[in-house]
Amino acid sequence: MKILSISTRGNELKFYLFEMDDQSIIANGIISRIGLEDSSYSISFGSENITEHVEFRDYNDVANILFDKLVTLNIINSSIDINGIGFRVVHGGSKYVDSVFVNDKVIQDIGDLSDFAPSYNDSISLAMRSFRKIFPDIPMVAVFDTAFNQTISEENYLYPLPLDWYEKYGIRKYGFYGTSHKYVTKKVSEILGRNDFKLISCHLGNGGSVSAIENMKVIDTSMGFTPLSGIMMGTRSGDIDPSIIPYIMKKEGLNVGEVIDELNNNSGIYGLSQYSGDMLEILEECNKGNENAIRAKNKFVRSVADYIGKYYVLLGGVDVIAFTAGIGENSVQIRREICEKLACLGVKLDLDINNHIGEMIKISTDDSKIQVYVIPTKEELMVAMDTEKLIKNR
Amino acid sequence: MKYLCVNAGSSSLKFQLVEMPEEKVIISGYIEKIGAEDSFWNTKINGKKIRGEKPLKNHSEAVDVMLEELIDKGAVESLCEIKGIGHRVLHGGEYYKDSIVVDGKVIKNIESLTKLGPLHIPGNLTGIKAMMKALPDVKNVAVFDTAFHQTMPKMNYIYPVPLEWYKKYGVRKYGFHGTSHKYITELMQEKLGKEDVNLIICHVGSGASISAVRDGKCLDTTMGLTPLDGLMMGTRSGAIDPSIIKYISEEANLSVQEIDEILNKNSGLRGICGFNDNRDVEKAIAEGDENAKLALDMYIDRIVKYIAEYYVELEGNVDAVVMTAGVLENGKETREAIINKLKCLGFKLDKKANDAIAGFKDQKSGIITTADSSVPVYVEPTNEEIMIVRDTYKLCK
Repeated sequence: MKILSISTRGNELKFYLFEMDDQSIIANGIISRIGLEDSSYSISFGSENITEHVEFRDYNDVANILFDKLVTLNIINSSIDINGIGFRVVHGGSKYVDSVFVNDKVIQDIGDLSDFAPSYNDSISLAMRSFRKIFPDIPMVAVFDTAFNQTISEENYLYPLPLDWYEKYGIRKYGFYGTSHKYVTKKVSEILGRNDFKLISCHLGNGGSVSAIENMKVIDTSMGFTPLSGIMMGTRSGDIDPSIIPYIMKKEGLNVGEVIDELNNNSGIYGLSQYSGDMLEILEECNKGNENAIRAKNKFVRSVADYIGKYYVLLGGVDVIAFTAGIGENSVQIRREICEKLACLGVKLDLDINNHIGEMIKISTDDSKIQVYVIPTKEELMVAMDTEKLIKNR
Repeated sequence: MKYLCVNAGSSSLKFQLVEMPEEKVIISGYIEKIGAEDSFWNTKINGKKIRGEKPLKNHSEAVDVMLEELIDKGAVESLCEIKGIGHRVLHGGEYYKDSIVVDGKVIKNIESLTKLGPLHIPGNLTGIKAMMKALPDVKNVAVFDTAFHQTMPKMNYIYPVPLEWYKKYGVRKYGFHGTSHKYITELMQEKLGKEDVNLIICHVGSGASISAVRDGKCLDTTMGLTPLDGLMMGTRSGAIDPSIIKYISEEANLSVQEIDEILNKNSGLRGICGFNDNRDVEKAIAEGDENAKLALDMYIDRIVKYIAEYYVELEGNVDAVVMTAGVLENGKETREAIINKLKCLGFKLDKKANDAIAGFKDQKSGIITTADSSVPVYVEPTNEEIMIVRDTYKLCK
C-alpha cells in the first residue's frame, strides 16, 4: 500500500510517499512559496535529488503538478497507485479526538480553527480541498496534532481562568506534537511488549513539548492553548508571568500582538543567548565560554527537568523517559545534563551508549530506576500509519 | 523597648506594637476602607477587640488614628516609647537584598519601583512618610517582600524573553512573600539546628507562593515579576499560556489592562467555581458543587507540581517541606491531599498528626508525616509582623 503524507506551514508543503509494507520512504520533497513569485519544488527519490522552479499559483497547481511529477519521474504509474493521502493537521480543537476521513465538513472545521493555529490550519485546509477536488477517488485522512492529547482530564486541560472563557471561547489546554508523542508511545509499547506503562515523552526540537502518558493515554502535556507555553524553546518563551505582557506593552509602546510575536519569535534560547535559537550553535558558543549562551542552555535543561519532575509525581512514578526530535535525538550533551538533574528520581545514564546518535536505543544503565530511551520521531510516518489503519478498517 | 510594625496596603493599614527583645505583642490593629466614607478599624489589646470608625481620607489620617489608638488604649504613655518602626514594602527591586533604615535615597529608590507594584507601593510610601512626619526622631526601617529572594541565581530569576527586557525594564523574577519565607527559614534553622537548611516552603494563603531554599538561601520561587505568577490562587490565575491574553483581547473585546485585572481578581478558585476563600470552596464541595471540587483539584495539582519541581531542583536533598499561611495552617484535607500525591517521592502522611493541627485548635504546628517519610512535612504558622519587628530591632540597636 502506498500512502502520501502531507504537512503544510504557511506557503510551504512537505510530502512523503511511503511504501507501507515495509514503512520505507519512496520519495519525499518540499514545495515552497506556493502562490508567491519564485515558487519551486524539490524531490528526493532513490539516489536522485531534483530542484526546479515551477509556478504554483495555488493548491490546485500543487495537487496537479505534484502527481504529474511523480508519474513523469516514474515514481508511480498513475494516481491510482496512491492508496491514500494523510494530512497532518495542527489543530483539531476539542472536536477531533482521533484521525478521521476527510469530507467537506472536516475541511470546514479545520479552516474554522485557523485562529488557533495561524499559518497551519488555513494552509492545510486549502491543500485538502484541492487534493479532494482533483483526486476524488483517493481516500484521504486528517491526522490531528491535538488529537492524542484529547484524553487529558478536565482538571488538567482547564486554566484557572473565568470558566466562561472556556465555554465561550474554547480557552483550554490543547497540547501539540501529539502525532510525535503518539509515535513515541507506540514504539515504547513495542519495545516493552505491553501497554500498561507510564511514560514521559520529551519532544525537544526547535519547538518542544513534554507529555505525561499512562496506559497509552496522555494525562498532561506542557504546551497549552497554543504552542507558546510549556518548556522554554528555540525562540519561544514557554511559561512566563502573564503580567509581563501589559508591562512590556507600556514600556515598549507595543500592542499585544507584537508582544506575543516577541514571545514566539525572539525569546527562548535565542532571546536569552542573544545569539541563536539553534542548540548546536549554542553548544559551540558554550564551549567558547559565552556566558549568555551557557545560561540559556542551562535554563533550557532546567525547564525540561522541571517538567519531568512535575510529571513524575503526576504519574506517581515513571517506567520510561523518551527523548525525541532534533535536540532529543542528536544532542548527547543536553540528554546527559537533563538526566544528571534527574539522579534524585533514580535516573542513571550509560554515558557511552548515550554517545550514539540517530538510532532507537536505550541510554540508561540496567540499574537505572527509570529506563531512558532515544526514539527518533517520524511524524510523517505516523500520519501515514493512521491513514493506512483507517483505510484498512473501512 | 517597643517597636512598631506598619503594613500599609492600597486601602488598609495593619499595625502591631511589640515589646522587644521579648517579642511580646502589646497591641495590634487593622484599619480598613481608607479613602472611603465608611472607614473603620479594629484594635486588639489584652485579648479584647475594640471597633472604631470615622471617614479617613488617606493614609496620613489613618496613621493619626493608629497613633491615637496607641495612646488611648494605653499601649504607650507617650509616643517617645517607640524606638523604631518597621514598614512592610512590597518591592525592593534589585536595590535591596535585606531590610534597610529609610533615608531620602531609600524613598527615591522605592518610588522608582512604583511601576512594578502600582497597587501597593504608593500606600507603602505614604505609610513611611506619614510616620517620618509624626515621629521625626525615630528610625524607620523598610522590610521588603522581595529581599529574601535576591539570592536566586540569575539562571533562575531571568525569564526566557529578549534579554534587553531585563536590562532596560527590569523584567525578571523578583518573588514575593519573602518576609514569610525568611521567617520560616530562620525558624527551621533553629528547629533543625543548622544554618544550611534545604527547604521547600509552601506559603499558601489567599495569595500563594512556594520557595526552594538551599543552604538557608532562596534558590527559586514561584511568584515572578509580579505576584500573579506561579500557583493558582484565590482570585489569581498563576502562570498561564501568555497567548491567551491576545486571544481573549480580540474575542471578548477587552483591553489588556482589563484582562490583567481579571487574571488578578476573577481567576484562580473564583474563576472556576465562584468562591475564592478555601473555606467556602470546601463547604460547596460538601454540598456537592462539582465546579468547587474541580477548582480545588486544580489548585492542589499545581501546589504538588511545584513541590515536585523544587524537589528536583534541590536534587532530592530536602530537609523539610514546610506548609504555612492561612490555607495550609488550617486546611487539613488540602494538606492530606498534597502529601498523598507525593507518595512516589517517599512522602508518608501521619493522618492523626495532620488532623490534630488547625489554626482554630490549640495545636498549630508540628510534623504531619511519619518517621519513615523520605521528607518530613511541617506545619508552622508564619509571622511576618514579628519578622519585620526583628529586622527593625536589629537595625535600630
